Amino acid sequence: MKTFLQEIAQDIIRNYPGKLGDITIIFPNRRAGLFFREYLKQELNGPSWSPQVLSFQDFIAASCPLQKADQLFLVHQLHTIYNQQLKTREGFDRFYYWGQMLLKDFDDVDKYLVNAQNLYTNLSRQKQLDLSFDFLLPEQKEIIQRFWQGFDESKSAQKERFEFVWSHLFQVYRSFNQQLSDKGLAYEGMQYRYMAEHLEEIPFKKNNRVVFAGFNALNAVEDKIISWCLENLQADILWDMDAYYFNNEHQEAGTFLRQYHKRQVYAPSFPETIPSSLTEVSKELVLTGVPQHVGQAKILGQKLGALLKEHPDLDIRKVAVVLADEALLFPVLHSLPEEIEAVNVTMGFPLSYAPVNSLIEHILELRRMARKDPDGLVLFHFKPALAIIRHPLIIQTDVDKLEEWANDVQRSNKVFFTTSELPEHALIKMIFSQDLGDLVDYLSAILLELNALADPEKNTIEVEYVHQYYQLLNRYADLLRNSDTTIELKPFAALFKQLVRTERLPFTGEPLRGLQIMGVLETRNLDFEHIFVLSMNEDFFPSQGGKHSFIPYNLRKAYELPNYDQQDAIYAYLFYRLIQRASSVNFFYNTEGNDLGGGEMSRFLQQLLHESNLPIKVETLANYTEPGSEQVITVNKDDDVLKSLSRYLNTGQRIQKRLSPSALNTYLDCRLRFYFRHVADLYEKSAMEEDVDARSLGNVLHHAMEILYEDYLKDKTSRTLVKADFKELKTKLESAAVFAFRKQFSIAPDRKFYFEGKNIIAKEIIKDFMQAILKLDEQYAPFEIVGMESEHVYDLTMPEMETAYLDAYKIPGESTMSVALRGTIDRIDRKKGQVRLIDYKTGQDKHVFNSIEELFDRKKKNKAALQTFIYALLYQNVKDEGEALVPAVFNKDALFMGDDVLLEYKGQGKVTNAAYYLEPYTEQLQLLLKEIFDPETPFDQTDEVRKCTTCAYKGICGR
Amino acid sequence: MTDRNFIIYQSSAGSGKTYTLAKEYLKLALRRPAYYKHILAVTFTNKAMQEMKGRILQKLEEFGRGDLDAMGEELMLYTRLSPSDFQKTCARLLTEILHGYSHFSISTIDSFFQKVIRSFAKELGLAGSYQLELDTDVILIQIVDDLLMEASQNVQIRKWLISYSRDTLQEGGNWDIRKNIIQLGSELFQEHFKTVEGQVAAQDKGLAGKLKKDLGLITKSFEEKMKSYGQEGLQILHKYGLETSDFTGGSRSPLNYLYKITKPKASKDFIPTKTVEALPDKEEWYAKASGKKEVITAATKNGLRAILQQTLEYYVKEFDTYHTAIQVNRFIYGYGLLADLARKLQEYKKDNDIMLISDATRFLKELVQDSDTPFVYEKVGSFFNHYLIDEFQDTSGFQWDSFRPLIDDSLSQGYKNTVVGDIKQSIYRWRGGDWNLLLNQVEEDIGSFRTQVENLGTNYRSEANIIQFNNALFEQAPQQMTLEGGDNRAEGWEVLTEVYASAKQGIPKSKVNAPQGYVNITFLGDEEDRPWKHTVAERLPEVIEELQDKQVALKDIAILVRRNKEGKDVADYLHHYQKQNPDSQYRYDVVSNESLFLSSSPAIRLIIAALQCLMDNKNQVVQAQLAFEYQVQIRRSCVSYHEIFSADYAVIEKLLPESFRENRTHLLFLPFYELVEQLIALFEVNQLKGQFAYLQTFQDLVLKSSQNGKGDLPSFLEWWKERGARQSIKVADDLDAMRILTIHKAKGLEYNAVIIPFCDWEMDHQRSPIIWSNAETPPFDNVYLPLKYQKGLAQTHFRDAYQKERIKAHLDNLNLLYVAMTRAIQTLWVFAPDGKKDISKVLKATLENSTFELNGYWDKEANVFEFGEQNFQFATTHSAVGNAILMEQYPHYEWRNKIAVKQTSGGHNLSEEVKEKIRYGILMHKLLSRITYLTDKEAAITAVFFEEGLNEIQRREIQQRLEKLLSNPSVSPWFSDEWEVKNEWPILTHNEEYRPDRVLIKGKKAVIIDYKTGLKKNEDIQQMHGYKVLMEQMNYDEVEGYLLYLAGEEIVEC
Ligand code: SF4
Repeated sequence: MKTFLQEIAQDIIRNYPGKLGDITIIFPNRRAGLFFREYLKQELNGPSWSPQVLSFQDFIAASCPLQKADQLFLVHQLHTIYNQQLKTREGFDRFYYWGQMLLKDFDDVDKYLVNAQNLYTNLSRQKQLDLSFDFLLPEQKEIIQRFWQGFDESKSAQKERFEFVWSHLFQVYRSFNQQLSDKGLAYEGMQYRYMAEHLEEIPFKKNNRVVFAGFNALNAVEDKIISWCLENLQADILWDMDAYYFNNEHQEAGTFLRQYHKRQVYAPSFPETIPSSLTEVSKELVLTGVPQHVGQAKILGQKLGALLKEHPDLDIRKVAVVLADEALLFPVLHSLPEEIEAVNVTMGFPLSYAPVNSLIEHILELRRMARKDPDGLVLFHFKPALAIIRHPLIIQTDVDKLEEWANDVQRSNKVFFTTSELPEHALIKMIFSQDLGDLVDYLSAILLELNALADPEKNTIEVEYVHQYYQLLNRYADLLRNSDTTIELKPFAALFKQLVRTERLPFTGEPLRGLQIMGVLETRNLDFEHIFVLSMNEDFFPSQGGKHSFIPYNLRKAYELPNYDQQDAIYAYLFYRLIQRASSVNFFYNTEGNDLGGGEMSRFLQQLLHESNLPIKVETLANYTEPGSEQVITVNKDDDVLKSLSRYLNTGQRIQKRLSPSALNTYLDCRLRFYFRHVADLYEKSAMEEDVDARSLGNVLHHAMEILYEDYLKDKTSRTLVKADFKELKTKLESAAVFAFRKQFSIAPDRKFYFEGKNIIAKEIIKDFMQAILKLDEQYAPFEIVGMESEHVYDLTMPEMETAYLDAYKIPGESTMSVALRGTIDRIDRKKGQVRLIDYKTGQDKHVFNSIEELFDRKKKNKAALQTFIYALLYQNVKDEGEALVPAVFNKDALFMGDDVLLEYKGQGKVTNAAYYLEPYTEQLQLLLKEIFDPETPFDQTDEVRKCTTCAYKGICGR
Repeated sequence: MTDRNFIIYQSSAGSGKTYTLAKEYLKLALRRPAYYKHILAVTFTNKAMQEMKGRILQKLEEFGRGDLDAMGEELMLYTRLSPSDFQKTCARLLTEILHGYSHFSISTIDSFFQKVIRSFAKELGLAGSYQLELDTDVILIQIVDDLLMEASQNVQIRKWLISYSRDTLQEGGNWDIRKNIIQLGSELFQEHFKTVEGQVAAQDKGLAGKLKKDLGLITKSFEEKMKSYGQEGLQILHKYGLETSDFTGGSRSPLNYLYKITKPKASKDFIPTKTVEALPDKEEWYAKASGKKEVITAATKNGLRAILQQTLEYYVKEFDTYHTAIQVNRFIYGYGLLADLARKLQEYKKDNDIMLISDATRFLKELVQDSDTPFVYEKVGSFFNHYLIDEFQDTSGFQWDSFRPLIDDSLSQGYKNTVVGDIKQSIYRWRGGDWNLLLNQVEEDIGSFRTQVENLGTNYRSEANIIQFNNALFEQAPQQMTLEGGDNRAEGWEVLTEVYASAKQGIPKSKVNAPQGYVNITFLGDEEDRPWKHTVAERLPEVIEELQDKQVALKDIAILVRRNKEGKDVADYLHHYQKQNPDSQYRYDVVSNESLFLSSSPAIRLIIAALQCLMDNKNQVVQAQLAFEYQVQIRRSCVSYHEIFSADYAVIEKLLPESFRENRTHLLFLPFYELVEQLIALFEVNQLKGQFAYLQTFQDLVLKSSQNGKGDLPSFLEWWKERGARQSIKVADDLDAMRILTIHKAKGLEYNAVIIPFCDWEMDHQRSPIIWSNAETPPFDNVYLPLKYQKGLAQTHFRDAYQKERIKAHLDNLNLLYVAMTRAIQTLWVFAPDGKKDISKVLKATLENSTFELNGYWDKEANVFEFGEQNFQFATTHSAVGNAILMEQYPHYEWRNKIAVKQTSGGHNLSEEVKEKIRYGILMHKLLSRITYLTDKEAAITAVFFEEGLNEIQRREIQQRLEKLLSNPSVSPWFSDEWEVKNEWPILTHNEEYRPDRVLIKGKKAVIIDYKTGLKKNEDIQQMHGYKVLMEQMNYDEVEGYLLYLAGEEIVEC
């Protein structure tokens, strides 16, 4: 099957041998030209000047004396004028989108040669509509009048707002045009209109041939110019069409062509018989439904691979992958089959995907979240800071140093820090500069530095991204400087986001090598044998973009501006034309929508299914999915594990490790967690915490109380606190609390520390706790502080532990074995023969327990009681003869609700001397330890998933 | 002809709602070919929308072929067309719709609203570029954290937060109030909040502060008063040397009340028991055998009785107020913060240029009420005469307010409008649905004189036995629900029976004669060590096997659960079972969109661990996890767990793929999407076939995050931490596996066999929502206040609001039962707990009731209800799975070396100076290519200025350079207009295309000029020779060639 361009190439060579250089061929877009020359070459023997090949747009731009300015510049101009005319002060960032829409409307108005003054007038009071608008048909007049009469009948707020803007638009349009042409500039529509009004300036020579090829929906200017050429020059126009949609008046794809066919000027250019390849070329049509997007790319890869295997000699240039949703470019590139040697991508890389974009976003965020300390020093928040340091573009400049620094920040809980705390690194210093200066200069300098730092050999794409970004910024800065607007962070960020969204970075390509990957619009005039179209959904094909306009639908219709019906018709043509000559077409569409739409198969596929009578295969991707299952992890106590466990045994030699109450608590919570932490020594990461949470608050309280009392006692001769001491103690609360926070966050003494956000609250809460403790203590005084946060050890003999494995670790000659325990007692105090072993608790701990066994019961256990009893065990040999050991828990109930601090054995009363219970307690403890060391009891996961929510290993367990 | 143009169809389950809607649509659309453009049908879900579109197209195609079913016949009669005309009309309409598809307005309510809002963005003062945001949770977390940060600067907020925290702590709660704030903050997104938003926004913490104070006074004075009563009473006891245990009841004597109220632990301690209440009226306060009768009598006489009486009187008078204060107090701090949160939300939306779905409804409401219908359409470009609204019971008040003026307008012009709904299937109230609209309000709003209510009374879905069972069940269940859950004294419960009054459905004649269908409801009790759910788990495979024996296709089996979590449990269990029984001849494959979480996929866990590892390579736990997942899942190696978990850094590294270890740094440089692709390949997770769907979905998320700006590793991981766990996969409809889905999602669907494994949801609210109300008593009367829905409210001034909500909650849960029970076509299996106070109790009470129509099928002994024909065979599995295709492998392609990006920035490995020169060289090159003759100079500069994005300084620079170059005496003649110029004009040969920069032609003479931006190279001369040869071949006699080195302005003649 000959392609459309091939046909033209052959025709031209046949008809104008040796005179190719004198011919001008105009296509709707540039891309067709590239392919066209390729076909020409195939027909040539010796060298020859190429015909001049242009897109219509290039042709206009080349002919028009007004230069086209870029979008950003135009919208910016428009913004200035708009604000002047409407006397508003809308910011550029807010205006940008709306400005683009307005520009697009102006573009349409010009390309369709609409009289802007008429359009932008409220015609309700225009009595002589008939006179001054004689170019309109009666129907059109009626629509317009009806529209405006609505405004007379009732005036809603929306209408008023609409009319207010509307009534100024002609002025905006006029001065916009004026200002541009004064500078020799134009937007595209303006160029078009200029040329339509200056036909005599069209540069073609009388005796040269002009061929227009492959046009479908002509705008008024194109129509005017082409007809003029056909009438006045040696010009031809060649249509690409198929009987399928041309002859059937219901097919919107043929709407325009049928209209042209009826026009005298075009009629002769239509052939006698319209080709009907669509139905005559035999085709394999497959529709594949795929849940979501990336899957389409993957299944495309599979099908493409199969195609290449089936036809090893296939000329890959005859295969095209068309992306209706360009976002699928990356997924497609990553999913091609190995056999593909080369790829040609016609659409650009979206700049917003580029790493540089996320970097700049983080930098803007950094500056947005920065704050000043009382001395005016700028402080940076760790979150964006870490994101910047770990950003691919940054970290690669000095991996070791930066990674270390980032880890360091993460571990040391620096929520805010300043420039001097950063690693020595030029780029970093630049980003984290104290003085932001001019925002654009600041960003430009960073981008330039990035560009300079980039490794020239690798990452070319990334470097190009940076460059493109820099250009964009540069242009923007230039505009702003000229209009002396000050650049504020927020609007700048907002606008830049919008700008970046639409930027694309072109690929190079030898367009005619390899697999073609293209967007829908780029397929114009091109034919392929095998076509794969992705995202064949209603929301992408026909494209939903570009439909927004401030000109109401009815007025568009009345003035014959294109409306969405026309746009749909254009896409219909693109669709059928694309497949008409192909021999196989695979369509992929997303089957999953949400309530905002999506997931609906394209209407064009519906049309094919319901009316084409072509054989079509419909299929769905339906891979079976294994349900995710819980990760079952059980670690058996093999020799290595036992060896590691034995470190907690007293074997007569050095004791390597000791078990703490919290380790035992961990074991009761979950055996596996105990294993990870205390046997495998897999340490939990101390995650960066911006502020204290429920767990760390307890630590802060411990620190605070220790500091408060120890500091105070330092200067005293006795360690006894009497009631009079508390007055002074109370004054030291604040400083002790601050100190405790610094300690918790390991903040070096020379560093500043500020309370921010939640920590402000936490500090107050800590002070509340401290105050309450002081109050209790004041009542209890006088008493002696024996120790704060003091560490004690104890070796518990285990008479019944005589398993084979343990023998290996036994002290020769001894028949028992002991387990090494340790514990840090929050506070020990003494009063009249009562030694209190105190635990501070900020959580939900309770005083009451029902039995000693219950303390070790996984489901019911009482952490505070378990712990304070171990304290008693650890301390029993230290205490003086005759002293009673009293476990005491300072918890919320005791501190704020007036409860007693003592434990309460339900039914047996308060625990006033731990000694009564130590025996049964020790027995239970031994049972627990026996289990821990029992080779037959593996380390397994807890059944109570609730325990997992705060577990550091939940990633491993998948919980 | 009636004026009743507003038709309400009441459509019970299976009554052919889509059928009716399609028929109604066609009745209108068949009037004339393009008339369909004037009909708008809205549905709630995308699925329903597609189903309706599909149905209409399919019917038209059939009728267009002359293939008429009952609907076709009816429509033909309705249109009064001859068969052949009818056929033609239908075919024609199909064509019209297919080719005017943008006007085929069947749309979800949200997308319709969006469309309208978009076109009014300017008038509504929206930045047009806004994106729609669906995930409000992320925003909420963000703004709450922002608010907490604000405590650093804003004293008022700081103080408020601190007292909030302190109070919560001292009342035994967690001082960390972030969660509480988030909970109340989620109200910001609710429609009912929007109605009080103005009130909240208008106040500062002053109002809340004052209220807070008032509440404090109320509670304090009540507590003190009660305490003083208590103490007085106790003093009397003391005076008489009595203990409370001396009175009746002994240690549990009612007089303990006196103690309680002096030291209350919670507000409920004030509530007297029945015995306490009865005490004042009782003569003797002592036990018969008491030895202290006299003293007690004396004490009672001398004040004790009077005190108790006073206490109780005071209690009765004041407790409600007190308790109201307690309840209001819960949220008073949060309430004070709502205005701040609302402000933060506004800022957030503005800064991030987003709009929320809930905003759209509000905007539209304003728009429609403020504007007149035609203008709305002028902008949108659609002109609707008729509206059809589906699932009307789920419509929210705002949504209705948006439609009402449109419908009003339409009706007043004599057009027909239709809504379809069923209150019995209203289960989306938590999302804003308001069934009261359907029950009463629409008719009131529209006017009864214009309204006609039609009941779609026949069930076409289910087999006769299923219909009969449901008819019987729901005839009684509402009463049972009222009995079990309700309070007979409370008003309003009759709404349950009212709603279900029309539940009885007709059975199509074809099914009556040979009734089919099977229902089994089994009640299971907890046994020792064996909760009833374990028993269900064991029975489940049996049921599934039995169904397979009957030739039911897997995809025709649905397992309905109340919550996603239960779905996951079932999936886990069946998966486990399948593994345990590899030789079973049955299949147990299940899928579900809702229950298959990404976080439970080993493949995804591995990738996430790898990402975390890249972020922080010192994190041992993550390292170990990565090594573990990789070794166990992918390598299936037999390295011992301990070896992995106890390994140090160096060893762990060895357990990871080599290519990962070595490319760590390189990986970090990649754009995020690409990074994930690489990890999939490096760790070979694409080898796991059962994981493809997870990978696909995961990559979709990655792609989306790349599109949203912050597509990088740290941002993604942060997002994943917050939201990742809730993401689940999307599976295709065609998959041959059993479906697990929630009852909510099952609404509107049908399956041959339905299994409800856990019929045990609550009768009342599961999670207590927040309700907004005000009361008549001061100080609660002037504002709407947020309250936690809970029993306690019954004893406050908010009891009416509470009762109303309670009734609604019960109806919701009854409706869930209705929806669940009516999904089945052929077989329905239900497992329910025995003896629990939840929906199963209602179910059982109904079955047991002797007036229950099918009571005869209730087997009390076995605790089973069984009805219908169990021994059936499915003739054919009527849904073939023929067109499903499989993904064989999960391809990965290294595209970077197969493609390049256009270099615009010039070379890189050169000195700065040279780079600069080259850069200008490139610019000059571009300039020159635009200049044919000298007169083009200015235009060329302008063009390059815009194309290259130059700034003014650069512009001046190139201008100077150009002037200088063109004034060079050897160069300037090349630009004189005596030449015919071919700028970058291609020369074609059979294989190649050449493009000399500039060729000057005069007759047979040609001058070739090539601009060079780099340093001088030999190849340049060779290239020029090549050009000359070409020109000679093209018959130019006299050919000259020049190289112009732009950097140094040097000319070389060749
Ligand atoms: S995640 Fe759960 S099961 Fe795993 S170690 Fe932690 S607590 Fe144990």
